[in-house]
Amino acid sequence: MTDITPPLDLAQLREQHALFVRTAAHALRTPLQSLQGFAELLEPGLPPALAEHYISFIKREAAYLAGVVDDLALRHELAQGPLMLFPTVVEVGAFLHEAACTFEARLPDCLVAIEYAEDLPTVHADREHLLHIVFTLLRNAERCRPDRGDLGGLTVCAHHEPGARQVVFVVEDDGLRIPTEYSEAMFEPFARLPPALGRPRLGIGLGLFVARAVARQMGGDLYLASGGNCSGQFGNAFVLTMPVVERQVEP
Amino acid sequence: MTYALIVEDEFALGEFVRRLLEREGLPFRLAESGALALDLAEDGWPGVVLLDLTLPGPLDGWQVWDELRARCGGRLLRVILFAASLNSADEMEARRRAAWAILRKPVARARLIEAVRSALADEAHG
Repeated sequence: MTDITPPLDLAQLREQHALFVRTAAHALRTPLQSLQGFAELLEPGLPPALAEHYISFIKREAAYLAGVVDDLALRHELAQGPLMLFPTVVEVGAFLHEAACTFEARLPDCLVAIEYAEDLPTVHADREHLLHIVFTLLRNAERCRPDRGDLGGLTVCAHHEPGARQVVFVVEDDGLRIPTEYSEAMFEPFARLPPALGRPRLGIGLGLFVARAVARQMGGDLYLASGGNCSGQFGNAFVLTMPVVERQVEP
Repeated sequence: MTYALIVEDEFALGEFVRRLLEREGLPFRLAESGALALDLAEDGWPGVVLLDLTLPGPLDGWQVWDELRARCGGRLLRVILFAASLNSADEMEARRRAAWAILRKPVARARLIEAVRSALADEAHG
């Protein structure tokens, strides 16, 4: 396969660079303000419940920043060529439990519901990268919740059609429905939905781009399901597929 | 009673500013979008507006500022620009509009409080 994308001229490169700097500044300075602010509010004598509340925000923003830095590093690696992957056999149920527990530990005010059938086949994937993809989707879903007072609301499920060569993971959010015309554009690097759509700005605009690239390199895919997750103007479902481990046929 | 109108869509940041102003005993109202900010200003003119530039919905921070100016009807409009991605052109524009203060995130809480408190004091003495 040959990349036939025309090279960018100097003006385009400068424009991209300016956009990157502006986006990165916003994506990094905003959580930094929360981190610094809540750290400054943690004073001796604070009621323990309030201190815990502030610490939960510090953990949340630190996790968010870690995600941004991971995305930047992976984007850089992807620009150099295919990632170095270490695929293993991943048991889906155990993986989902680990993903939900780790995510909840990083974002203490978040509950992640997981749903899967007990007889799911195993998948062939690099476990760390698979975790990164699921975290990206959960993080986006968490930041899209319209009512942030609601402590629940995040669901990740996995299913498999008999005979299919892929296990399907679905992460749903209950943010404003993303119009169909943006369902591909949002996987572009530094993609931004128009502000008029009313969705919050999510990070640096690399999360979905990186997640899809990594999913495809592992033999799967990532896309936005048309029609969202429920009726009305709310709800989106991101679909991740991963190849099942093929059974060896006895000679 | 005068108050600070906080226009901030980022949940954690809104929560931080809310907790900080509560702790300092400063009256405030929180708007998560430009449209909501305009509704709140209509309901009661704020002594100061703490304004982010990047907002969800049809109005960005500059447009909210324009709308407030159009609606001030002789009342003083004090705006503290509280933004993450400020470049020199933004800063120049904010100065041209006579911003009460220009704060680039992250700022120390003392600086944020001082800016809000001084604007509310000016309103009280005006």
